[in-house]
Amino acid sequence: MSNTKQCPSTVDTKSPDAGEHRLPLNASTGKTYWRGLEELANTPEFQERLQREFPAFASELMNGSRRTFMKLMGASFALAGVSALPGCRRPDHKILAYTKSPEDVIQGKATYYATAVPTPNGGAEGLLAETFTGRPTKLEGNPLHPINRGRSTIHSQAEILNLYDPDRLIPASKKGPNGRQAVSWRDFENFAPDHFARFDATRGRGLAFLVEKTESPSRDSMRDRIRSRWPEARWLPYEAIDSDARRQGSQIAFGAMQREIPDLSKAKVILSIDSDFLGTDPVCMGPAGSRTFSAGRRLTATQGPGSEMNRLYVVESMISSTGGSADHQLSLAPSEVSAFFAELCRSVLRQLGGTANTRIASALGRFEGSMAEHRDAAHWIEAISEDLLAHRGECVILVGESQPPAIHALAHALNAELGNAGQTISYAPLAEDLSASSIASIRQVAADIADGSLDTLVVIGGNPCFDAPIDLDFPALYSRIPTTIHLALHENETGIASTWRLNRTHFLEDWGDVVAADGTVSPIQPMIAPLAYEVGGGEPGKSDLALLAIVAGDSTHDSYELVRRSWQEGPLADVTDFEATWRRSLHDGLVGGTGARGRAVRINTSDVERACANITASQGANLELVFQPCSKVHDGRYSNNGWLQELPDAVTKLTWDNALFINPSKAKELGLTDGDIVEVSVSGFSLDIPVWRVPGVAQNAVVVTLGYGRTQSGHVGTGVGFNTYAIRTSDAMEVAIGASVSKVGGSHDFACTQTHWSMEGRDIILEFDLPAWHKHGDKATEDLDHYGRQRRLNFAEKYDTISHAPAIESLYGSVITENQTHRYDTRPQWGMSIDLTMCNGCGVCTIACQAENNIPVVGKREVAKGREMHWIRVDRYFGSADDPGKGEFSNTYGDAGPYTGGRVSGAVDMTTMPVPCMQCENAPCETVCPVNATIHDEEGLNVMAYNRCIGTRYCSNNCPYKVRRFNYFDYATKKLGGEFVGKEVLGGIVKSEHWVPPRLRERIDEGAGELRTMQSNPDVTVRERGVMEKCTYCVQRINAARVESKLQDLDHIPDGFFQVACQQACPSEAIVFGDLLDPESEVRKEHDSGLSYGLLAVINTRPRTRYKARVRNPNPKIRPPVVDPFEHHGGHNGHHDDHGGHGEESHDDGHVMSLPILTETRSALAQAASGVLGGLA
Amino acid sequence: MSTLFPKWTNAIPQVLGAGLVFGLIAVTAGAWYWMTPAYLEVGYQPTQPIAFSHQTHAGLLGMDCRYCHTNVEDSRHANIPTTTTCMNCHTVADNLGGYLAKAVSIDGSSSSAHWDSPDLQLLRQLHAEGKPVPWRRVHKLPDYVAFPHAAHVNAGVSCYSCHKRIDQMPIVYQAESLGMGWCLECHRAPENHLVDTNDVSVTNLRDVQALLNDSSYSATMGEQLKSHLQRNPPQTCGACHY
Repeated sequence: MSNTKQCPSTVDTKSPDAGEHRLPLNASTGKTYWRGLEELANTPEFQERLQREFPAFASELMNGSRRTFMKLMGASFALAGVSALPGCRRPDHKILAYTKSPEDVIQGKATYYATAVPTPNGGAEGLLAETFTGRPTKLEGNPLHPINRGRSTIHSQAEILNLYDPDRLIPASKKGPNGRQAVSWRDFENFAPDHFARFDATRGRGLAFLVEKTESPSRDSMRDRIRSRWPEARWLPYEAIDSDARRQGSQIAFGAMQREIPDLSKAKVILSIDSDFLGTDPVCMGPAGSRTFSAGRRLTATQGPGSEMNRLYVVESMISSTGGSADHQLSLAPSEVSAFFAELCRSVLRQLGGTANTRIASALGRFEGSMAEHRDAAHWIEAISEDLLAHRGECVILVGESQPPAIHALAHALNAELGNAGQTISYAPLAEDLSASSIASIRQVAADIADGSLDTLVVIGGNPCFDAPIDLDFPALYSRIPTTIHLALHENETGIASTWRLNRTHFLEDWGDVVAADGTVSPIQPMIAPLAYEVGGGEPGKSDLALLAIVAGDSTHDSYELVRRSWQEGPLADVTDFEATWRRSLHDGLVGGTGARGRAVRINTSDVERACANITASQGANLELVFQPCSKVHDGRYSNNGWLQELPDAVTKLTWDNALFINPSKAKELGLTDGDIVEVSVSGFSLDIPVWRVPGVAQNAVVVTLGYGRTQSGHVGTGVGFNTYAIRTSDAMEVAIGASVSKVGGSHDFACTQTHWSMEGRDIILEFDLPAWHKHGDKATEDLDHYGRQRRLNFAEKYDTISHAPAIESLYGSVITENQTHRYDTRPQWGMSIDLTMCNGCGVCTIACQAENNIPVVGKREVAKGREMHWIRVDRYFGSADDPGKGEFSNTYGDAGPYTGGRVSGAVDMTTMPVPCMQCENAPCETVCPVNATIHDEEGLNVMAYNRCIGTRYCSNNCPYKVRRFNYFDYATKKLGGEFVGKEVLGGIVKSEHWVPPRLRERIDEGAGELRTMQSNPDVTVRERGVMEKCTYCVQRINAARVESKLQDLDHIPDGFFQVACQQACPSEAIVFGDLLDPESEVRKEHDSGLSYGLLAVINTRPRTRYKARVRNPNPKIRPPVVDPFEHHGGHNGHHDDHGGHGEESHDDGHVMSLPILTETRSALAQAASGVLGGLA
Repeated sequence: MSTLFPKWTNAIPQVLGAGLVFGLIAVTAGAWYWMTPAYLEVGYQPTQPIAFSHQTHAGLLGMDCRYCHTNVEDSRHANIPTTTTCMNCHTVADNLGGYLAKAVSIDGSSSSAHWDSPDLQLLRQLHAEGKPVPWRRVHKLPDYVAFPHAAHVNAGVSCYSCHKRIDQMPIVYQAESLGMGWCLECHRAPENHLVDTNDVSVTNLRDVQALLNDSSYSATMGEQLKSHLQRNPPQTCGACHY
């Protein structure tokens, strides 16, 4: 690594000691950035990966022996012989036009309809569905919907793939004497009236409904009908991931269950107590949380409006998207978090004064000094309480689900006392189904089964046989119920155990309605008739409303009629013209006038005071096991979605897996490393699961994510990961105290992208503190550089590598020559800006891009080889304030570094960076393509002609950003999992179908797999094997906009006329795209910002995608901000020494700037070049 | 001495040589034939399920292209009309009245327009069953090419430029190669193929043909393009391939 001489920032004239490895420090902060522990420790494996342009085995087909290979391939060669030749000739293409013209359909143009998707555990997102001649292809956020405002999340983006999931189409079935038999809905409709009429005599006793949680006027109306017919039937809302603590906390504080509705855009100080509100915690209402949070962080000026940003403190058990976005992040075990917050409350309330406050403070008296063992925690508490008190009415405290009810109640009290209630946070009563306790529901079912009183259980949504607490032994109980009816999208673990397994419609297939967290009522409008297998006589599913109507003996079973009926009684009962309002709300995707239901609520201080007694003190060294929802598959419901499975997790960057996340130093203490299988025992249950070390996990905590290890999920999700529900008991649903972890031998292979496509230790992330921006952000950009040349460098660039490298002179003369046909001076010139301060790494850009650009899923085996196809990846860098060369680190794995529990100040921080193609003006990829398949166009796009590409991969070799992707196999046409060639031979050996290379997989367009191709965007080519591909700035959208602007007779494409897919999806609004020559365009302003820098601009690629440096807003009481980055940096022993003293002495320091070498190199190159030319002449 | 090899073996090298040559030719010709995409062939003229005549409808009856190809000005596709579009005229034979008589009188051979012609019977049957007519596609671009009809038609590229005198074709065939070189001919010299839509409708194939064959018109167009028409056909890969 040290021998590379192209970039002065990486040149080290001293040969480094073999055992010593130093990561370059960042110029602006003096921090070290690293992406994986391998990189930090500089292991041989990491080194090897760096040296190779393509990961090992990247072009090998099989790791097996040649003989196995031939055996396997024989079959496919034979098949290829039969199928390939005739395919070349005379495609007899039929054109089937409509018989009758549908209204408003222009073939070849998308039509958008508003709809909404219910989110897990209540709430909704408002969406627009893009449809091509009746075929939905993509979902976008509904710009009118207050939750989305046009933005979306990974789950709403990925729902379109669920619609076309062939595994979903398994027909309804019934348990029979000889196993399961396929049945039709008609059979159920014949069975239901008589069966349910029996409960009329018992007033419903013996009948129970276990339903997923949602707030839906129509379902509520069906519930009320069922109740009025069978008053004693049980209606039990249940979700696997549903904390009672939040509800109970509000019950304590307000005397009634309330939902929090925060408005982060008004908050100047935000304190998160184990709440991942930008990620898995729905408290801030999904995309609305990211949007309002980043609205308070956008820096557009150094003074006045747009120059201030909010401050986020996060105290959590494992670093999350939210923790990564924080200005101060602290990793503590859950009980320590409670103690920390109790102590903080005590401090704030005592300073606030007043009788009630003083009484609560004294009830928390026992926490005084409880954080003393954490060196800096006391310091933190003091600093945060001061900050909160200074921002009364402008701060907000959010508590996560792992915390006990008393902590939630305390937070409500604190928010009220600080004057935040009604300002930054308001409250609304919880709907009936949402205020039910899931754990109480499932316990009730278990108790009813145990005493034999339950005759018929109707399960709607949900998968209790998989995700119920393990101590209830629910699957065994479930099989004892005489009649079970299960309605779900997939045939899951509960489905195959049920008497009746009924198939459900996707939300894009049938009518419904849903209420979002803020109270906005939305219709769920279907986009396509319910899908079904044509072969095999399968039948389309029905919605939950239809099932309830059948059960209740309703007059109609039609969802459309049911929704309209309930709206006439409910949301639209008072309107005069029902039809007009109904049509308006279908158009808008919401009912006008609903929503914004929050208000301030009085606090019941004496109850809060009493609850303080229930807060348990820190558990000390007792290991705490934390159960978290997976950011991708949630509780397991999305596990059959390939996009989500393959999306690298925001923090761990794992794909296709879960693991036991553990702090590296704790792992070292236990003698564990990544992939080691351990036995985790807690509450009398144990589980074998591999370990994955993550800095930023609390020392005394281990974390597992739920939703993996499905046994009955489908071709994609079955057998992926480890079922952590196996150790989750009903009294420890969020945190289990006293877990033990012991190594059992064996190891597991992970497919982790965290060190893929690494860009080594160059200045990739630039990070500043807010005061430095205020002081220097506007400084003259025309300046002398370190070599005495006049250079135009903005604030950020002054700290970038580009500032201490001489301006690059091209061997071929000026970059833009006279003979060059385009000089980038005609509008439009496309460019992009990505604000690292706003990005929280959620990955919605990746999924949106995948949906828009027909990007295939490649499977775990291919990801493990570094062949993931994502055009925009999100890199995650950990930063640590300590210099690894100064003894805090040694070069062994996970040495006691800055993460040791006692050393709070040494916490890691995290920065995420989306990396699409940079569309370099001097694109290195273009010069090496032997067939001109990638060239530049007049608008500054680095375009890629797939049909011209012959797959040499030179372009990818030469790409400094590693953003080019290669189709090693026919991913687009082969199924993931499922049947594969040679299954008879290999079936027993292949552990998981994800390990089957796509070459051997069954074709997608055979059988029901054809469905998947229906998702494809017709405006984008589906790439074949052997072709390079990459981000094109959504050139199909650019072209469509160009045509549209001409049809509308516009001179130019106006700013905001269209959005690219990643920009459109990003809820943080971190991505801006537009015409750089439009002086008024957003992107022009972003590029002109002092924070804007080009990634690796030092190599003179002139990237069109630029970044805005990450800015943190530290509390000076916790960490003094770096006000003068130059001076700060001079004190460090890094490779940027020349920033400070440019003197001789800095040259002795190890990392030396070496201008002479660069000059020598260049003259040598020039000589070589002239030699060659001379030889030619 | 008895010969080891009979005399006829002397012919083996010649036969082998000739066989090799013919074999190579056969393989080459076969590969050429089988691997050339048919859609690049000028003159491709599949038999349609219904012998719909553009000559009769667009030519003799003078129907505008856009009566059937309704989306051509709005979308990338010039859509195939729905069956109901056909039935607008063909519902009842009597209603065709003068039109049918006119068509038959001008073109005595177009007996297919008779009420009881098998083609129209099939059309009515498909319409009654709600099934689409299985037209066979004539013009097909590969998946990796995006060709927006709307952009071209609105810019003043006539149907004639790509489809030639489709109003004279009893059965449609592919008149131009639709290859990339052919596309670029026009993108590099648009003045030879553009008409000013104020002068003539792009669907008036006869007049467009006359204009485009008039070299003085292309000179005027060249001037107009430079001065005010703002037609800049892109020549970059990304304009069509994405």
